[in-house]
Amino acid sequence: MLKRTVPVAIAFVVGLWFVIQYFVPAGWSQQSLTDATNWAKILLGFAYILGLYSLVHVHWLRIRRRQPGYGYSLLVYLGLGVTVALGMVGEVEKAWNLLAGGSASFADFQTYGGPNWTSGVDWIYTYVLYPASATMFSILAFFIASAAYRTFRARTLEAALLLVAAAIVMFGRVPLSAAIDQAIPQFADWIMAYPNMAVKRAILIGVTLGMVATSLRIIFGIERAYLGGD
Amino acid sequence: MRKGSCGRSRGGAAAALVLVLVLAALAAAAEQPPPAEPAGGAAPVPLPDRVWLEDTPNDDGRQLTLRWRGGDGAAAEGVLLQPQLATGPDGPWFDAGSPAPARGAWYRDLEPVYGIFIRLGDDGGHGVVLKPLEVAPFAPARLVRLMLEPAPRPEALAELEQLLGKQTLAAIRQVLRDWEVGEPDDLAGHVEAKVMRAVERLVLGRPWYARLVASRDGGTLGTVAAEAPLQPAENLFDRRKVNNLAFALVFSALVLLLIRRARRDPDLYLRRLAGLDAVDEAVGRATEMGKPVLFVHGLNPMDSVSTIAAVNILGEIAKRVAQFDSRLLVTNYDPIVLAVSQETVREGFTHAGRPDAYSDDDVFLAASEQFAYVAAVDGIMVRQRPAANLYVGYFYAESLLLAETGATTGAIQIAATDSFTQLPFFVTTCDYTLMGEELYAASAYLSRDPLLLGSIKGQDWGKAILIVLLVAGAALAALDATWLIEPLIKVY
Repeated sequence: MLKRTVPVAIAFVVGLWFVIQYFVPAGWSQQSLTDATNWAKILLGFAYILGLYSLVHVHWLRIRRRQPGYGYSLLVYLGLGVTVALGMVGEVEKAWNLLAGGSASFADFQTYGGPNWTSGVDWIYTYVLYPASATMFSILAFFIASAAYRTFRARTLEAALLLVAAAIVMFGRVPLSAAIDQAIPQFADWIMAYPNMAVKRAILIGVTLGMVATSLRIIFGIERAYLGGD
Repeated sequence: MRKGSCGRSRGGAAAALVLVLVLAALAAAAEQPPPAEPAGGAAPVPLPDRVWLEDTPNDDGRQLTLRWRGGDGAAAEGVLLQPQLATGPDGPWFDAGSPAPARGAWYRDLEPVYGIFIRLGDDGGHGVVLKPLEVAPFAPARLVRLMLEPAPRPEALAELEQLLGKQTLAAIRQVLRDWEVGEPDDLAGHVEAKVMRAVERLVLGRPWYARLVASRDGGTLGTVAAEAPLQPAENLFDRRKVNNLAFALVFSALVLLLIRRARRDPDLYLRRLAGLDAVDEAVGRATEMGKPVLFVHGLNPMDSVSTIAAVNILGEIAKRVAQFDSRLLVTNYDPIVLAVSQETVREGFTHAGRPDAYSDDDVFLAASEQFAYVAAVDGIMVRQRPAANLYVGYFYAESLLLAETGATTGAIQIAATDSFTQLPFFVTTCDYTLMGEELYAASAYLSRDPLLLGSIKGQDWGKAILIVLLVAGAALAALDATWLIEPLIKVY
């Protein structure tokens, strides 16, 4: 009962309420949505403990078993340790000041760290995480080229149409096309605004109906796979 | 001489009479100046002849609508009407919003606030929406700050009392005591939100007085007060969403009806989805090769319907993997999705009679940063070479980075996403792609549960209705009869 009936009942009551809530503009109705969103954030905070355990445990196993690439797992530990240490020390200092009757107040904990310690976390963010993310993102340009090559070399009618449309749109986006003929960028815009938009909206309509149907299945307890089983 | 004297006397009397009349006229003019006498001898400017307040519909009780009629003739060109609010009939008055042109601010222009299901008409009436809490002296943050002054200045207290009255002030003090707020630093996090909301309610929960001050070229022409004060009310139904509600009810009824029908007749036809038919092939291949199946979640959290759909699919995949005695790796981006996925896969393995084959270590958090997630998943693909990669959920810029890396490893790739911006990338790099709504149909298709299949039929009927409406709408638009379709398509 606790594993099936209660969660399904909660999903029914809460799901139905938030469908109704969408149509109720009163302040208490809006507040219930804000409260639910806040609860979700609190849950997420606790869930991060689970996530951290999962991450640490999986990488620990890799290191212990000396799996290929276990050196990267050591880097995970190093990065995690250094970032957490730099992030926490400032907060511990503030907590100590608070407990010792110092000048720190509760509001201080809402600000992001202190002047000395946050600089370390900021440095990691600015000079390690950010460039590493940018590097991964920049690979996308090469991957787009290779994916496009694989698609366009296909010998089907659909692939040929895709190739022609893509060539027109890409060429219509560069200034040279307008220099040759104003009609080229206009035609590229037309492709994006009409055939492309029509397909996009068709997909969106299908997605929306799918979302509503899935929500109904969950609210009425027909779909229960998300509870872990059928 | 006499005659002459008499003539002088008559002339003096007439002059005195004229002087008296002129003085009397000047005195009258000084007492009661014509309110809207424009310079240059033009026609007088008529002021609105009726001004009143009404509750703004479809809102959370923070707004009032000030309406008026008249005062919009040709002579009112250039006249501005400044709405003002007060908490008492004698003020003090404060400007509420920007001045409205006397020949503009039509009531019919309030359609975005009122919606098309409230008849605004075109009878020449005017209206503006006023937000009392946005009038600077009544801003809750300012009121609370004044009340939390360590040694309140007498003039500040007098101002507060004049603005809100003793009763409201006492109620606000009680709120501050209830939340143990004694100084500005105590206002933090949820305490601040709760206190501000309570203060807002107290400030709004009193009658508001309104008036219009007419002016032209910086000169005041006159003032017209609203007939009666009004307290804004919280509305229980947003009437702008009537069409939305109607469609939701029709579609929900349709889905539930077809689910009920599916109970009686479980042999519902569903067109084949090649991507889902290939799941068995992919899992079988993984078993033959002794390689794992990799299930990659999208980036959206658990409150996204696409993630719920992904978890539903994961449950079916887990059963198949367990039946084939293969290994399933599930990478997660969100810790809540991780917890749900672990439970789902465990149940799937248990359902297939292989609870011993399940390991929590195979369903793990790869990273909670977009490109760190890409790096982690790509690393798994390159090092462990899964036989099949399944990308299910909502993806962003990482889609191509994942799928292209997967393609280079030679794995069978199946994607299912409702992220239409990423669909082209999956179509070009995956063997099979489930597009849009197919993501939501997948769990029903895989489980073959008649009740779930019934809901898919409901989706199809919903689409059929929409297609009919789209064709009819296009025809009506071509005939310039958009007023017929507007109630159906207008969204606020």
